[in-house]
Amino acid sequence: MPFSRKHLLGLEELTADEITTILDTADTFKEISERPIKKVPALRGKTIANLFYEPSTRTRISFELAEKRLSADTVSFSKAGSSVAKGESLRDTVENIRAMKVDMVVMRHGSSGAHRFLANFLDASIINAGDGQHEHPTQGLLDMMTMRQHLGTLGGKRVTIIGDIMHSRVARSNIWGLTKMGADVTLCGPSTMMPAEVERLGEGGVRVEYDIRAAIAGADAINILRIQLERQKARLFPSMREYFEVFGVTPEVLEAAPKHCIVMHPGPMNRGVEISQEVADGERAVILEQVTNGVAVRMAVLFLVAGGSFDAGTPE
Amino acid sequence: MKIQRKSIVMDAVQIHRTIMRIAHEIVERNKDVEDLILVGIQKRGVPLAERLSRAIGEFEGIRVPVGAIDITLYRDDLQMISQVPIVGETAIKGDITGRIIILVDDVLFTGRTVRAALDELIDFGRPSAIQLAVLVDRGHREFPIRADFVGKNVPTAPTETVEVLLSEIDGEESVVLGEVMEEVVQEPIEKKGGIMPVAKTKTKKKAAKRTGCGVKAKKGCGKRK
Repeated sequence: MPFSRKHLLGLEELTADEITTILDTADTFKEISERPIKKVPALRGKTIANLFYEPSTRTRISFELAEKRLSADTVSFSKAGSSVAKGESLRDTVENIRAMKVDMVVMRHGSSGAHRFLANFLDASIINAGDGQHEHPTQGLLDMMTMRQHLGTLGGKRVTIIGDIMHSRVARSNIWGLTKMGADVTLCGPSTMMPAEVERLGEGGVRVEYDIRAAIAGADAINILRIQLERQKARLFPSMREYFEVFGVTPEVLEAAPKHCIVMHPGPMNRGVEISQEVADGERAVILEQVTNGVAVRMAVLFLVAGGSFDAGTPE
Repeated sequence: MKIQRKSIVMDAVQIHRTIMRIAHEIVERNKDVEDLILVGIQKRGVPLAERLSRAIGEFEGIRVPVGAIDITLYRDDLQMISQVPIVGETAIKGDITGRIIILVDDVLFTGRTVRAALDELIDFGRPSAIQLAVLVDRGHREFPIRADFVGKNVPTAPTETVEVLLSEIDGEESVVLGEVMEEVVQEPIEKKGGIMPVAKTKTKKKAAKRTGCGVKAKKGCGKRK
């Protein structure tokens, strides 16, 4: 199945075939990072701007490595120390970068839909590295890649997402991607962090469970979301200790899940809040594999989005 | 692209005999079989490399290691082709430095694939030599590249096609000469891809710039105050 999209704004708009193409390409790209010379010339001569309006370590490094391993030229920018601090609008910043002839823009932004706004008037490719509470498609893809490597396939598998569903773009991308691939998704978390009508999210809907042991019973994979500590100030949960008591994933809680169940976390982890020390370092945890797969997935996305012309009709 | 098959150039028996002959030639040329690594170019070069390794194993008693290489990421026309091809597996185990690489492909045509494969191989190490083995050489080279081991020379016209079908991939075994059929619908598709989108993006860009400047000017003034 060929891929002919110009942007990657979210997983909601992709088809199962397109997701499969990205994951298959990522599987083959993983090997490039094992080579003595970790570089292929596929994107030679392409210029990519990384715009990070929100702090990020993992995603940003991962994107930059992916770009460099495909031989693209990159420029990076973060909010601090840029003209954004001087009050320039998003559109002006991007128009100016565009005027310097950039081929692709990788962006993280605090506003949901910022990427779609840019895609309406920019002719560069735009890749979403996280927008507000909307989507974080490459995280969703690398989560699926990791699950597929461990579980063989995604169709019919049961995945439980635990934590702050309401504010999580990782959760949304996971829900869209997984349901499209035919997996059963269960959500679990405090009711204060569960959006209204969340059951209708994704393709065919998801299940909501408030008891963590019931939520992970029969699960093939658990994806634990980061609890943002600032949420406590908003009184969405009483204390971190109480959150850990009720929703923290510990070895005891994990006994409710089958033996083959893998534990994932998009990072950065709050050990002792949403995940216990033992589980984070335990043998079921595939958290560092997720990071390794992240580079491969981002290489695949950049390659597929940049490659070829987008308006061409028939493939050879 | 529609291809009309014209004639069969090689059948299963001929392909088998040719591979056996090339295997002998490889051993004849390279006395130290231990130094050899066979690297097949995806897709059909890989089963051919495996067959050569098996053949050499039969009469030399040594199993020559087989690797696979996918040259998609090294293509010189990546920005020109309409849709990115699926990238196959590249698997070269161990260090290739100091070894003799036998690059294996099904058809040698323009030489661009081999050029890409050479670039990629060199990124894996410094082999002492790279030799090229192909099942069919159909001519029309665009680069100064020639094969060291040729199964069969097939003189062709540029509009003709040479298809190698192998049981491992295609379920049948033959080399088929064909001809590309002209398609009547091709012209309108080209127009759609070439002229229309250019016009579209042009108008978009203009509109964007206009409003963009307006906003910027206002902001700038506000700041100075």
